[in-house]
Amino acid sequence: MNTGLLIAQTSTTTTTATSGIELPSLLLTLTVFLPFIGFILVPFFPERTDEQRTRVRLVALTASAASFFIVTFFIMLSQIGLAEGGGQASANEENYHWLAFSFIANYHLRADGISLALLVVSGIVFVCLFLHAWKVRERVRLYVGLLLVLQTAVNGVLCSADFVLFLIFWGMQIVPVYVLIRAYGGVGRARAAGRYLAMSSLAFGLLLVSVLLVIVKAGQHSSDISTDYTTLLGPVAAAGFWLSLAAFTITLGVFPVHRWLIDVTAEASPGVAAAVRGVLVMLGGYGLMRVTLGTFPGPSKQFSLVLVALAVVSAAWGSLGALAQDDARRFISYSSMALLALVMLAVGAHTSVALQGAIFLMAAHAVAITMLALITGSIEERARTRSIRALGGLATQTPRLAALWMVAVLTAIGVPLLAGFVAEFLVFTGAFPTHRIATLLALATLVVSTSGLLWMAHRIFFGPLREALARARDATALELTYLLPLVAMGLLFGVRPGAVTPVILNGVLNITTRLSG
Amino acid sequence: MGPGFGYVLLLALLPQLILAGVALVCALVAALRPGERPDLFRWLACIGLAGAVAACGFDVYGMRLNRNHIALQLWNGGLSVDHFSLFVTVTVCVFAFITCLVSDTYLRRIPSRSGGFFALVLLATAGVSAVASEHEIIALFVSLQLVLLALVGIAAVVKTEEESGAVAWRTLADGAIASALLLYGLAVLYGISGSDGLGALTAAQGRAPALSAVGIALVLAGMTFFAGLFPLRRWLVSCVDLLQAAPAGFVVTMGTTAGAVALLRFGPGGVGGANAVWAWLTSVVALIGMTHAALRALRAVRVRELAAAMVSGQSALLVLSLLASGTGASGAAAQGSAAFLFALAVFGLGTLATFATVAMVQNAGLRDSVAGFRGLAHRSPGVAVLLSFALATLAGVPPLGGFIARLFIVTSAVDAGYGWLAVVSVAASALAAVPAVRLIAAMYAEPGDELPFTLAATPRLGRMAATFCCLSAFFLTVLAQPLLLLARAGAGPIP
Repeated sequence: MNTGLLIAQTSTTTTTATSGIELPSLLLTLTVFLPFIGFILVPFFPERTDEQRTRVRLVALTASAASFFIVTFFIMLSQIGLAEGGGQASANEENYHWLAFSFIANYHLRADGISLALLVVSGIVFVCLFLHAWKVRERVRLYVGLLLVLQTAVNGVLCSADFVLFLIFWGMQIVPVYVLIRAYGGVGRARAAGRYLAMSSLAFGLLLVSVLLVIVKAGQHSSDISTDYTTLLGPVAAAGFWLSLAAFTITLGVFPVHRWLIDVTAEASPGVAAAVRGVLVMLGGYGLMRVTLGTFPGPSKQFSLVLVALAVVSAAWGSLGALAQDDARRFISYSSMALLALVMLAVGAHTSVALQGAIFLMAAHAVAITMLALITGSIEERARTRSIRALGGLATQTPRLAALWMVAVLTAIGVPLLAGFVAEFLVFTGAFPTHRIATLLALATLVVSTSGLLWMAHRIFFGPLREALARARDATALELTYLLPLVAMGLLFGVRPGAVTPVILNGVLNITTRLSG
Repeated sequence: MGPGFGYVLLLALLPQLILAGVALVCALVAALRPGERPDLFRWLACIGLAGAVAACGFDVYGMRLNRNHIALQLWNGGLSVDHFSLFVTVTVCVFAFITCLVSDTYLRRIPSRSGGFFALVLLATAGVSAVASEHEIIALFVSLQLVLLALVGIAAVVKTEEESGAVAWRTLADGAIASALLLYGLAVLYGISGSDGLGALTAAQGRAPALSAVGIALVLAGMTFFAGLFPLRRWLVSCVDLLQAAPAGFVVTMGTTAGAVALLRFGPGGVGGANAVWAWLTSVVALIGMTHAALRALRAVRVRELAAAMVSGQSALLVLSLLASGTGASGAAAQGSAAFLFALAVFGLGTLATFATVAMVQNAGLRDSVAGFRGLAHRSPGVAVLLSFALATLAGVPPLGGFIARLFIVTSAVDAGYGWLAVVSVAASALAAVPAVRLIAAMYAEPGDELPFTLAATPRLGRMAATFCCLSAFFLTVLAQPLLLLARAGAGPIP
């Protein structure tokens, strides 16, 4: 019996025996709360000297990496092993009684295929962001502390199987991100932070009302996400659907509620911009699948055309909007918007293939956009500008940065053997049978955004070298340390998608079963 | 009058008697030995509060002996010690205990007034406890007056600022207007029902509906004063603005608690939660209160102004929970009263934590303006962390207790059919949270331009109490169930 299968069997025990073996049943709790323990520890370390600051970063990195390690090696690999061994992948689960008001709320953590894939991706992104924190020189404790809270919140949202927990973790991310943007951003950071606060509060309020409607009006006296809420009356379900859709589209940064995200990406520090663009928006897509589709299947089918229309408009807006930008960060942000619109298309398509594609797409997007945001930060450090016009020919001076940039762009645009290809292939294949015209239109916009990203790469890295950039350094060891794991992740999802697909499918089927029922 | 009447009377009034007795001792010692150390009064007060809590335990025992197992009742139910009143008594004793610890910052400056201060703290506590026990309109009115006078007394005693006397007079004047409204309202209702029992009000509704509506409106208007709600919330703003932070925290917390508890006794416990006039008027009060508080919070330029607005918003939320009585849309009880009691405890802790931390900042001589708090985290990380926790609790930011309390209230409101008001409350809470989050960010994100100060500059007891409040705010999310169980038991006697 190989190690994978051995771990797989342990994990199966986890699913069913929450009252039996204690140690394995804490895996999800550890995944969620290890970063929070790091957050509690960080203030106790002084940060006056370089050595002390390094120690602070190491504590944060250890906490984040431990969480990533658990979710990847103890949970994800065991599920993959189980699937490859011929068994059916199942969700890891922890369920304990928590609150009994007019409804029952449990401390219910659950990681099915959808959550697991996104947990792995967000985990690697956070580890890279903590490595990138070596570039942060001031107020290191605050920076890594808030990132740790953010990771706790993200992991919590992805693992929550109870609406109250989901809300708590969702709301927990607002303050840290706001402070991070305001404390570490550029000149316009106050405005960007203000917009973020307004939009995230609005999204949270909408989500709260939607969830309350579900909990109260369904008459199930439960706030468990997996409960069947089909008992909701038509108008109530429709209201819940629209409210949750609005909340998640705001988070996803889809047209017409995308401006806040563009501003944040442009004005926040590279690490924070990467966290928001790479991970936070992913939660919007996740919420659309888990809550909007999973809890309101009826209205989701009824109004699927709205989702698809939003996706097409958003993709077109993002693709064309990018072409009008001279700021590299804004360009990336608009391109990212075009890519994420495909998640909406997949959600509107309702097929399991498209939804699997959406998961892959969010993973590819997180990897690619994080890389692009961090490399843009590196270029800014060297060139002291973000203007695409002012850049050019950097490939001769910084070949490694150029290569990494190209990998990120190719991941985003969907070149074979990289994560983006699998994602886009699955999304378009899954969406075409249900929404042919919309799929074709989205494909057309993808051509534009692909061309745009390649054009930007050409402008920045190729052509004649600008005089001001003649002494630009190539990627440092630190930069390679935090960028190469992302490349590996992009390759892993691209080269061996089959290993993850059965695990993801297990989560997706739960949703499609409800949609078809 | 049965043979056990004296025993039951003693048992029923024991918490209030202990509080009043120790208050008397404090006042006498202060009068006879003017130079006595403030610590003596503080520990006397703490012992009195502990005694009152212990007496609540005896009351619970007394209930078990009682035939109906529900409450100790006296004077045909006019005074009823039930789980609700015991919950309130223990809660306000905890509030007073925290105040005793955090008021050190203030007492170090004016040690000669500490005896009077603690006596009034205990009297106010006894008053709120009595409000929770009353089932009779006259006694309810008298209890509220006791609270008002004790709080005005505290405002008058705290003479570290020139304006303290003015605050006391203003509170007294506004209180007199509110009391007049309340008294007229109660008189009208008494005239209709012919009884001074709260229980008789429900039955009397049909006799003179128009006059009854006038009575209810007058009572509600009068009680908005105690609850610190628009339009009679000026006292709250003046107290917060002009008193020392530690006593101000107590005055505000006790005042709003007394108002909210009286509203619960009068509304769901008296005229009936299903009463259309009561429900309509209460929803209007809640709506205006929440909206006004949110707008005031957005316009606040000083931290204490912001805190006052948020306290007012919390009171409005408590009023909202009063509407959620009876059976909800889900088929089970809407549990508005349980949400009310849970929120009462959490909001009080949040308010006291905020003022305790502001007292530390005040003690260090910092400006009260929002701008003055910029970069606080660089000058004193400890104070910044405590203030962040306290403000986040007040604002209802997840994952702290303030959020859970709001969730319960809003859930019960939706369940009771007040979905539109729940939506307004979510929007108002979100709006009011924005300036609080901005302030938290300014403490960390902006550079500090003043000299550093440390937590050690403030008394240890104050620091411990503030830390306790902040930790409670966090743990009341994780361990919400025990408090919720107590709140549900406390809400049991409310129809």
